[in-house]
Amino acid sequence: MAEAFARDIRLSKTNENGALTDLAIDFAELDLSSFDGPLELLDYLFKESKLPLAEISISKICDYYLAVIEAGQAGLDMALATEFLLVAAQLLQLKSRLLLPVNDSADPEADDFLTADNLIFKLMAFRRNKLLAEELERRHPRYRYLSRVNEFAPELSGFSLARRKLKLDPALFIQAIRLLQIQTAERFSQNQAKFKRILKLEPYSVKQKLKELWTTIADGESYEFRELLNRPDSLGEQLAAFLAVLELLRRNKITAVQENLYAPIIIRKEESATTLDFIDENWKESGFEE
Amino acid sequence: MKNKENNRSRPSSDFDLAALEAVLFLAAEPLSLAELSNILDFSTEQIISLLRSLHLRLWQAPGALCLRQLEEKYYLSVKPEFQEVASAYFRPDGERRLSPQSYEVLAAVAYLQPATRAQIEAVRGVNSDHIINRLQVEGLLEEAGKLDLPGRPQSFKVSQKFWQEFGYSGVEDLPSIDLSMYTDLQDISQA
Repeated sequence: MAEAFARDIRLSKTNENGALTDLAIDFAELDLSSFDGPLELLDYLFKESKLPLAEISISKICDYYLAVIEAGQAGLDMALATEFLLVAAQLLQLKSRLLLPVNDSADPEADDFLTADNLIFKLMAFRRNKLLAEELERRHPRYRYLSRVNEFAPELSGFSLARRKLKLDPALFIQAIRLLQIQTAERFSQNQAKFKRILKLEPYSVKQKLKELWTTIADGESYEFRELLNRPDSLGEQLAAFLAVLELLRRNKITAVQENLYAPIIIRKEESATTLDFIDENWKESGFEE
Repeated sequence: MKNKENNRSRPSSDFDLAALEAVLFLAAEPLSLAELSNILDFSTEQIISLLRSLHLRLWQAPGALCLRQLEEKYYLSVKPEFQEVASAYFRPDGERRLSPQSYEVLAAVAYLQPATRAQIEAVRGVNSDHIINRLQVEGLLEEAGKLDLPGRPQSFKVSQKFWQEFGYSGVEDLPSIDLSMYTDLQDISQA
């Protein structure tokens, strides 16, 4: 089915002399906010061409779409503008792919890869849904109120609805209450333990970590970042150490090299750095506070 | 109206037909064959026979009521020619109508269900969260469980109220429009 609609879609509209013609649309007069979304605008542009799908230039439609967006995006609601611009980006990508030679290594099955076939299918599904919605809208007033339930029918007919009496076993009820109490207490104690773990302050400060790191790397050797941690599994220490590394880098006291993504970070003291002269008793720069 | 003592083996047409009509009139919701069978103390085959007879009798009579089917359940409704009268009674001044966008969402869900928000958005081309939430409040959409997909997205389906308010008996009753029937958008628009 995809192949049936993909045949020769690169032909542009031509007049009887074979010259390219444009759609008779004044883009400046198109009110972008009157379209519910980008697909509706695209559908409008396709319909305006009054051509079978096989003869519509996807590239031309892309140009028209972008022209409309450019003319009408001022004053558009931000959320709606985002929707239009996203499709604009996809259309630009599609147009560029149509213009460039086919790249065998490209993955046409990638979800974000908008092809001409995908675009046509999207529009056909959109158009089909519109027709179905119009059918529902025509049908709704006809049937909407025909099946409203008369909740008073039994009473008006002289019947009183019997109430179902629930049989309550006191012993079972008390047992259920006790079980609920146990479950609630257990859940609360679990939460309490979690809160204590979360609230527990680990004794690491950036200032302290700066001094520790400096002491370690003062010999001029290279160290992996993790080697500089006393407790590598401690998130608090990792954070304090990382912030300390960033501060030392900012101060040109060290070099930090990572050759590849997720590779170890190799730290080494700068040869010209001799002291942590920026730290004093009142040091609270860069937002680092003890 | 269940008569356990009589244990009727076959319906005696007029009275039992009227009994079926009474139950359907009093019921607050569509009733299944099993429920009707239990209430009226007949087999499901006998209930089906009664339903056919009731359907014919109501449709041919000059009265306003008719029998409708919703999936595998049955209920009494008003004939479509009385929709103006029904509207006048049920629609107070200022009752909100559904927007065209709401019908688009309903159409997408009715044909795709169970449908996720992303699937609905893919069909319409715009975010439909607000409309979906509103249609849930209206009772026309309901949750259909989470799909076994990354992110476990919530899915939606149309409700029983939707089928009743649009006069369909179920999914099979929806008009079928197959994309492959058309060669291009012009054909669809002219269909």
